[in-house]
Amino acid sequence: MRRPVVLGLALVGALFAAAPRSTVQVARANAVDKVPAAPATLAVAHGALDATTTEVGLVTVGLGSGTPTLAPVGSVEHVRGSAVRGAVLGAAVLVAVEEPGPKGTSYAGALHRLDATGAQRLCGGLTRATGPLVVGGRVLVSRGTDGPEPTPGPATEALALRADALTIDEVDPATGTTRTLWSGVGYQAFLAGALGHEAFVYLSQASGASLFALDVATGAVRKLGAVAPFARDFSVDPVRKALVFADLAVADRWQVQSLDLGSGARTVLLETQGDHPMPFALAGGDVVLSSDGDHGLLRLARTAVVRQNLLSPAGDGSDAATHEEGRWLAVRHTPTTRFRGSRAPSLIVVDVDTGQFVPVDVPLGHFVQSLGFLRGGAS
Amino acid sequence: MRLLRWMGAVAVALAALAPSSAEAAPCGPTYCPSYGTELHACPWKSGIRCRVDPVVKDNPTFAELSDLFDKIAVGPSKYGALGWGYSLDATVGVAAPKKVPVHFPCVLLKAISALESVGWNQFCQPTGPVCTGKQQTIVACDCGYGLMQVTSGMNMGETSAYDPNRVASDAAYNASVGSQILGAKWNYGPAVGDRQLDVIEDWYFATWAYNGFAFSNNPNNPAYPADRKPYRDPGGLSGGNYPYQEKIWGYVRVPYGLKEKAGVAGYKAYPISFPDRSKICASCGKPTANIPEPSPTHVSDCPGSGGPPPPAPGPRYELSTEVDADDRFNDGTSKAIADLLEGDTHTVDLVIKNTGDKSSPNVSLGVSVPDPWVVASGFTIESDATGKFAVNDADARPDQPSRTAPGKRFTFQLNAFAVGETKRVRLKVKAAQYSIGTPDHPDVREWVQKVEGVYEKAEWDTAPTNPGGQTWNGGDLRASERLDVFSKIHWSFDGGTFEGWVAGGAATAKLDAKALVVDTTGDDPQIVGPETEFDAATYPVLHLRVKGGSAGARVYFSTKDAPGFDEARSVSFDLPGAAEAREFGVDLRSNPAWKGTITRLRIDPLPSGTSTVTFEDLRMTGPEGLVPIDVQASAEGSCGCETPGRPIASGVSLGALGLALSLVVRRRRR
Repeated sequence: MRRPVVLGLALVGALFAAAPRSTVQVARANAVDKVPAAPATLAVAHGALDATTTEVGLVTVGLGSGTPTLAPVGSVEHVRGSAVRGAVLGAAVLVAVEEPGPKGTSYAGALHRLDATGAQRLCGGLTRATGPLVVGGRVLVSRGTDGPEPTPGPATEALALRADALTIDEVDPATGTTRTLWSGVGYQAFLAGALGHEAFVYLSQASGASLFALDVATGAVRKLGAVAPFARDFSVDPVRKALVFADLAVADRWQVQSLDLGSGARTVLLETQGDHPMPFALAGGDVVLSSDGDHGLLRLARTAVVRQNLLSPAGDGSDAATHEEGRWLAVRHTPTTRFRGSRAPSLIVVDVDTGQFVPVDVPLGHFVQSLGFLRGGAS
Repeated sequence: MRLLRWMGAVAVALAALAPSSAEAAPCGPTYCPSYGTELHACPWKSGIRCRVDPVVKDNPTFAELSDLFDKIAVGPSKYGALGWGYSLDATVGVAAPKKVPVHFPCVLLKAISALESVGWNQFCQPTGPVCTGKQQTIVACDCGYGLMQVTSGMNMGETSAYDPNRVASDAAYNASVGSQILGAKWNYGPAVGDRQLDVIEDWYFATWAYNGFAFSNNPNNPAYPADRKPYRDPGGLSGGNYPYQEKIWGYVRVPYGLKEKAGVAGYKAYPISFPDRSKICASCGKPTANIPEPSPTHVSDCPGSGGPPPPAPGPRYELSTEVDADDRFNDGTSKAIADLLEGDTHTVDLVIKNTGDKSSPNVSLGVSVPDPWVVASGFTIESDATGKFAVNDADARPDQPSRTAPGKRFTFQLNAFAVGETKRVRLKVKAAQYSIGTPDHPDVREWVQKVEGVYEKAEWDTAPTNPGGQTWNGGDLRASERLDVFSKIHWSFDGGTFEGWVAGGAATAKLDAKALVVDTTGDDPQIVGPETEFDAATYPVLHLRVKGGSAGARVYFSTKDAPGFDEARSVSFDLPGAAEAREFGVDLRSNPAWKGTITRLRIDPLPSGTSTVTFEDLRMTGPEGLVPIDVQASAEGSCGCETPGRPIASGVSLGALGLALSLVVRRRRR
């Protein structure tokens, strides 16, 4: 089904065409690089809370000291209050939203593609509140079909969750045609990250949670082992070829862990008092996370001596996206105190080497979500 | 039986399905599908017929619907013919479970309906598929009917134990069918705490199952942000970022109508608690298990729902306070206390509500303000009698306290209260003096001083006379708002709080004997201060009282124009290394970047190595804060090659040194 999408085509085309390659090197652990980060362009979704339309725009950071301007790309319609997730594929923005579905379904998500040539609904059936994962130019999504509602047992007996039919599918970004790479039964198959030709899937089932690598070309599965059932906020450390994530491995204590994608061995990078560390691995292997008490973002350097540098401002940062060159990190910032006059979450883009950050302005009262950086820099 | 979730505005489907011939009658202003027995298609399925046609009828008023939910919440054993007469016993208790007739926290039914029917709609003006211009039953594309969006048994050809015509035509009946479905979920979900029907929090799993006992409603689902604020709370996200039951919790905490400003009064809010997510393990190799009771719990007190017995007739008062400040420093003794910054102005709301069933004569409200830490500077008296807060007649009474300087202890006359009326005194206060280290947290206090013939209490700490039988707070009608006044330029570490300072790098920090003790163990140890805001020119000196350490310390600063830390914005100095505390100042003007508004400080006690440095006091001062002891500040740009044009500044200026000579050089800690 095609969805109504309005595009500022000319503007989009101009922005995509104008994006040059940047010359800034990948961030170095512990480095204090005085060279300003090269400009980069970020795809952003925003809209009124609990509305039925989400706007998509592009913003270029690093051009000067002022607040960058958000250039509209188009809009996507969805059910009231839909979660919005996304990714960037070359010059296209992929946006996943929820569309009308039967009551209680977990699979009413739909994937849209917006680019300079127009907009297209690619496919439906996406797992609720999940987005696409781009792996070497291929687009993967998590989809499924609702299983039967659990049957009531004796009143005092605990109940298992509903088991659904799950798939990881590749979507042709031109036609929306899908190809199933993996299928199984369980609670959820969550796309956790990608490296090279492999996607990493966090599978939750009644029997426990596990991670496996999925070869996106062949569909071959490589088990990475069981993990605790509270793992979340995954990202890939390309330097150590490791999956970084938060997990509640010890009762009441969250840890930031690094799982070697070759051996499956796990390393605890940090144990925290907070309940939302939301780690994110940078291109250079350092990890940025939200500090205990939300005093700001911490940069956890992965050199011989681990150290932490606080990045402004106070608050936390979630749903991180990083630019390929490693300096720019976009996060949804939830302030602990009023930030620029508001306690509402906002989007900031941080230069992780200098701690300088650029707020992205959206209309007052709008939610905001980063969808990912375009490849290369921008002018 | 599957129920029933409102999927929100089906805008695309409606647009596609609305026949052009129906455009003659006006469509409703807000989402209101009204499908019936005619064949139709949904975006996910075609060939759908609903079981009965919508009924043309006006929607009951908000007050009527609120009353209706209260009546249905008592359960079928008590509401009689008002709704569906189903029979359902609920299991309560865990250690010694027993069966009781099911009943519900009424606010839960209200919240579910608010989400399901987008604000209590049994009937509304259709937006499609045919716009009739008249109010009729809201029937979603999937044949979800009315207030509770009942779908089970409502497709053509299905059967049900209840009357489908009344589901469409009768709001109370529709609510009763929805309540039965919810009640059935209670019986086979895991238990929360002691599994009590009257405790709203104990309905967590039943509410989850109302939308489907699926992983997509697992609060630990990695698809939802870990740091999400409660739905509908300030800072909350759109509903799609929450599992279903958290959305319902949102409508309990912030009732429909209050947030929407839709001209409706809302219903009573309950700040209900969330269970500890870490106790909800959906895939631990076993079925979902019982979880502990969250704290605190809340009992819905709607009439007859099984909550506390109704009070005796008469006016009843409940007091509360709220300040427009955050718990900025949520640690140690300052945990869960609102934090003000010296010099800032805030509003403390002193709220009093008549929850009784009789109106009240004039209420005198005593107030005390913790001067000198917090000073009152004005007030406004408001009432919600018109549905939203507006200035009340009492505000203009000539016997109110001074408008500009009410003082430390004063009395407001609030006039009479109608049944259900809430009044609030919006007290403007200034955070006047740093309070950290004082024996108690300063608090703004309110108490009902006198209600003629009903209640009397002369002062905050005197016993009340209570002939009217007030019950709230044990009959002692008083409330307070504790506050901490922090400084933007002074950190004494005297109050059992880090005051926003955190350790980084190879350093740990602890509080000990009214000091911040920093242990360094390796590379790049540091302590980072809280966000602040002060003028660099007014406060050019960092004055320290410190012991331990050695040469090579450095203070970094970020400014409004240059956020983040950089060696170009730093000044080096030496710590005394002494076993007893010494006082001295570091002149930050030696770095030309010290200008504008300073937003944060960082102190690196040494470049690397093992040491213990005890910071007893840190404060920004004028030039008088310089003390020329055996330390000497020197400013450096950390990397001149990358900051061309930045001069390498000299250390302490001679002028500042001269000023400092008159100051105390070394002082033992008090």
